[in-house]
Parts: sequence; structure tokens; C-alpha cells
Amino acid sequence: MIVLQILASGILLGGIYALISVGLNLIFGVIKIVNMAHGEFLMIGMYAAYFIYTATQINVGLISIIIFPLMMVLGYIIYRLVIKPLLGTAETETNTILATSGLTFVLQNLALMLWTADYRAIKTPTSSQSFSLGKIMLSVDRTYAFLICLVLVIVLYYILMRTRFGAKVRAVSQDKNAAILMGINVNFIYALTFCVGIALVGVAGAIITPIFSVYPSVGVFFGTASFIVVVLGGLGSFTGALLGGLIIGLVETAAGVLASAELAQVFSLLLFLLVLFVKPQGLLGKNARV
Amino acid sequence: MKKITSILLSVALVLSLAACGGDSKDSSGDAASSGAEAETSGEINVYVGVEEPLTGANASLGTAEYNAIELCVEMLNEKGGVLGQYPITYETVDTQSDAATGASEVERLITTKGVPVVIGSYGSGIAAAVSEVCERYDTLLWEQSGAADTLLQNGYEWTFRTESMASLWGATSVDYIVDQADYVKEVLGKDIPELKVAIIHEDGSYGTAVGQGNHAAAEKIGMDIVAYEAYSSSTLDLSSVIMKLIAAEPDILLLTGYVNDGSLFLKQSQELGFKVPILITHSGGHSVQAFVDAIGDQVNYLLTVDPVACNPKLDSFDPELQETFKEFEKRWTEKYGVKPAHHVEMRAFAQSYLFFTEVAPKAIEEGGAFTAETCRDAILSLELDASKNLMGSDVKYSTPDEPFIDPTLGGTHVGQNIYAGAFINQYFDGELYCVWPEKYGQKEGVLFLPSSSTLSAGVVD
Repeated sequence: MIVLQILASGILLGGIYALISVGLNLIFGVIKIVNMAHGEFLMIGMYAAYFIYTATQINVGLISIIIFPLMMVLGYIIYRLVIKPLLGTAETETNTILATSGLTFVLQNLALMLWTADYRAIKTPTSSQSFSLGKIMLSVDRTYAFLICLVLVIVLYYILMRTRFGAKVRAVSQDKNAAILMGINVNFIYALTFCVGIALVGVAGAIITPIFSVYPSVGVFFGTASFIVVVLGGLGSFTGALLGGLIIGLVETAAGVLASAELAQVFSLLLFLLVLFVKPQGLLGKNARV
Repeated sequence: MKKITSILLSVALVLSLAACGGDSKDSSGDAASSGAEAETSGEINVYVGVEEPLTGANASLGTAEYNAIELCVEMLNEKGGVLGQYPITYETVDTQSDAATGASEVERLITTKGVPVVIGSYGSGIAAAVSEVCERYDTLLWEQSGAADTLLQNGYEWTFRTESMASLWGATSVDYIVDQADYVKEVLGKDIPELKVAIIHEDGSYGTAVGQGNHAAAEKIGMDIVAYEAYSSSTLDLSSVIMKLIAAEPDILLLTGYVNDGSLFLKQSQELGFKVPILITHSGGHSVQAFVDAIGDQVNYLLTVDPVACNPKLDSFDPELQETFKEFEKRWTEKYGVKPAHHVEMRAFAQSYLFFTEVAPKAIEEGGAFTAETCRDAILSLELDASKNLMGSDVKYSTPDEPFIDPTLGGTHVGQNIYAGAFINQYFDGELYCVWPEKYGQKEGVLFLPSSSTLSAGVVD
């Protein structure tokens, strides 16, 4: 029985890990930049969800639909001001890492000034609620997060692999110069990808707000977790990120029960190091890049 | 465009870093003269450094402590300051919730501003780093909330702590249950040694010390310890711990954590269907408003152990102190729109007030100056009864010659208030009230989780 509960809890935790990593992965997969401020965009999504829920008490799913375009606008502003000027420079990767690292300080301190350091939490009708599947107990909010993650991965996969627009995005991802020669508007693809990536992390923030408190530095924990998940699964691979999230979730839960909760993260990080040692590009990094 | 963006980014970075690190301010609004200058001129200048985490993970509670110190100084300065004639000025640094930053910022305060006394630190990790710096520069650290036992075990001579250490909080929760032994027998049909106890704590220095206190006290009276588990407070999932608890079926759960992990534990316990007859938490994140906001009504009847009695009976304090207590509550409520949380704000206020009304006057009267040395001498000769200390304990500090031997874990501590106690508080309608010991108890405690609680095992209505 406990094995099934470990599996269920581990999968749901993995769903959260994967959900918060989707946007990071999309941006890296297409634009090839590592967004170090990923966790801070998640924090902004959480604050947005907190304020909208407090004012309206509407469903978190609806809130995430409202947040998506708002975060796209924010993403576009950041893209124009911070990312675009650095694309095409001699050291694009280093410059964007430095710039987005700086952005983490800016966004954290901006949040501190605007919303103070107080911890904030929302209590929705589904908070702390669960349902049973046989003798297994499943958290409503975590199941919801897992399903949203699955839907996002499937939709993104479909758009990228089965649509003409997706083919353009893949072309830009694979060879930017060849894509330009084929008449693809690379700048548009870059801008749109960045905006959607930021919007996705905003949605992730909204979905997890009923589970976790929000405060200015909350993104640090989630940002670190996201990087581990996407590197484990393979930078740029959606299915890899989902797989990475699930593996980390399952290992942490199983290690927590069978060994010690204190060592749970040690086990997942050991596995992470092992995978990097054997397959540095991540589990699905080579084959499934967009 | 690239140039403009680069300039904008640079400015933003510089501004944000400046916001993180260099937040120094003087209570009077004027440029503070340094302690060194004051010493040279021979005038008495009550000038201290305040170090708190105003940004970073602990910013919420650090800011609350800072605001309490600020209000304390404001109230005293309205009456002329220390002894009614020496206004208090202070310089503030932001430790950014980081021990290394705290140490370097305090070092800067000491070497460039010449502060003789430092007040802080919120977290035990920061307190340990700052304590080492203060020891190196013979500067007094008046520690108000670094509760880890290890803080005063280095034999340092310049760090003093008025409140009790974390292991005592752990022992106090067991003492409270023992005090209720007859009632426990009546409800559960078990004598104390037959009780199954689970101890769960975050794995930082604070949680570990409380857990050790729980464990030592439970073991001493022969309780059956069915789970003793630590977890990382940054975890996103505690289901593994809760699954173990469900299997262990404890009669008592002793829990120690911070706001996020504490609320996550209770949420996931409810989701996974964990039930327990008695649940006692230990200060930290369990006694603050953010915790109440995070779990809502589920907070009611939760017991916490704190180093201060929340909403205590006031009649055991000196009449003047009773008025001070009420005045602080009134002014805080007016200033911030909410009542002060006793575990954080009142605790910081109480200890700052003790320093400026007992230690500083004694230092000036007996030593003729406000320096680290005169303050230290004043502290070492200070003896007060509990009626003069808003923390609710008698006051006398251990010295290198007469260190305090902790009765729970047997550690040796220098600079500890040897009479510091811990108090059982309980949530009623979202607010904490002291329930034990009876001297300070405003309300009668509810030991077993009532059926209205989501974690109730249903042993009482």
C-alpha cells in the first residue's frame, strides 16, 4: 500500500517540478539563453494570483487564464529591454546569464518594495482537500497542477511538432541563419517564444499559489529546482523536463520514506550528478530538442 | 539602443544592490556621530548598531523585529532616552538573511561607525556569525532571537541572550504533557511512559536544537519515541514524513518548523488523512501571522511553545511595565494597523526595552560611560525578578567562571540568562494566548485536538 502512496505522491510532486520548468525549457530550447530570473517570474505569477484571488475569489484556473496575457506583456518588456540588445553579441550566452542574474536582484527587491517581505497565502475551497483512489490519498491542488502540466506539455508538443508555426520555431532553434534564409522572421519567433515562456511560468505560479506561500524570495527555491529538472531531463526537451520532474519527485518521496526526509534532496541531487556524468546533455537532451 | 539598455540595466543593478546592502539609518534622522568620537569627547552617547534581515528569506520577521526595536527607541526617546537624559541613536544594517553578509555588515558597523553594542539578529545562523565578529572586536552582542543552543557554547564573553534556548522549548512541551498526566490517563488510558511520541523538526540549527530537547526530555521520562525525523525547511513536499507518521500512529506529535514548511506540513497532513490526539508546535514559523493566514481556521487550538508568554496575564508585572506593555500594543496597532504578534514583535520589544531601561542605565551610572565594557559589566552584575522583565523570567546571566549547564542536554553556556523560561501558548480565534504556566495563563489550555480540528483523532469532542 505504502508503495502505491509513494508512487502517487512522487508523481504529483514531479508534476509540480515539471510545471514550473516548462517555461524555462521553452526559452532555452528556442533562444538558447538560460533565464536565471526564472524563479522571480514565478514569484510575480504567484503574487498576481494572490492579488487577483484576494480581490475576486475566482477559480485559480480562471486566474491563470488572466495571468497568461499579462505575463506575456511583462515578458515582451523584459525581452525588449534586457534580452534583445544582447542577442547576436559576441558572448550572448554569458551576457544573458549575467543580465538575467541581475534581473533576479531587481525583481526581488522590486517585490520587496512593492509588497513588503510578508508571507502571503490564499485559502481556496480546494486547499488541503484530497480524494481517495482506493486507499491512496491524492491532493486536489497537486493533482490539478499535475494535470495542467500534462496539458501544457501536450499542447506545446503539438504546436511545435504538428503545426506550420511549430516547424518555423524548430527551424529557428536548429539553425538561425538557415531559418533567416528561408524567410522566417527570427526576431518575431524569439520575442514570441520568450513571452510565452514567461507566461507559462506565470501560469505555473498561479497554479501553485494555493499550495505554497508567496514572498519576494520564494523564486530562489523554485528557480533552483527548475534548473535541476530541465538539466536532468535535457535542456530544451519538454518530454525530458516532464520525465526529469517525475524522476526527481519519485526519488525524493521514496528516499524520504525509505531513508530520511532530511536526505531526500541529497538522493535526488546524487542521481542528478550521476545522470550528468553518464549523459551530460540530460536524459532526452539530444534527441528531443525542439 | 544597446547602450541605453546597458546603462539602464547597470543603474537598476546598482540600485537593487544598494537596496540589499547599504541600508543604514539613524533613528534621529541626523548623521550619527560615531562611538569613537563620543568616547574622545567624553560625552555619554547611547549609540548602538541594529542588525536584522530586512531582505531575503527572513525579511518578514526581521523587519517586524526591526520595527519593534524602532518603536521601543521612539517611546524611550520621547521620555528623554536612557535615564531620561541620554537619547538613543542607532545605525541599522541589513544582514540579507545571510550569515556571511551579517558578519561583514556588522564588522563594517564596528570598524567604521564604532558602535559599542549590536542588537539583533533574528536567525541563529546569522547570530553565530555576528557573535564571532563581536568577540573579535570586544563589542557587545545583545542577542534577541538567535535561539540555537550552540550560540553560547563557544565560551564567548561578549554575547548575551535573555530568552531561553531552543532545547528548553523542546523540553517544555514534554513538561506540559507530564503536568497533564492525570488528564492524559483519563482520555487515552495511558500512563506517560506508555505514550507514543513522534518528533519532527526542520534540520537547521534551531529545529535541531528543539528536536534534541524534545528527544532528551521524552527519553528521560521513558516515552516511546516512535518517530524522530528531520527535514529541510526548503522542501516542497512533506508527504514522506507524513506517511511515516501515519504508520507510526503516535499519541503526540512534537513539530518544529518555519512558516512555509510548517503550513505545508499541516496542509499535507490533512490531504493524506493524518490524525493525532495531541499536537504541539514550537515557536519559529508556527507563532506568526503568516502561518495563521496560510492555514486559516486550522490554526485554532494549535499549541506552541515560545520563549515569551503571548497575551499574558499582566498582573504579575510591575505596574509601570504593565503600562509600557499596553502602550506598545496601542502604538503598534495605530502605526501598523494590526496588533503586534507577541512571539516576534513583543519579544523584540521586551528585550530591547530591558537593555535600554536596565542595562544601559546601570552601565552609565556605575561605569560613567556607555561602552561595550560598561554594558558588559552591567549585564554581569544584573539580577532582576520576573516582574521587571516583559519576557516573564527572572534575569541573571552566566559568566565564563560560572557557566550555565543546560539541564536538558547538558551543554555549557556563557552569556545565557540562566532563569529564562519557555511558555505554552495556544491559538483561540486565530490569536495566541498563554495557557501554561498558570502564572501567565490567560486561558485554560486545550491539550487534545478537538473534533473541530482537521487533524483531530477524535478522542475528545
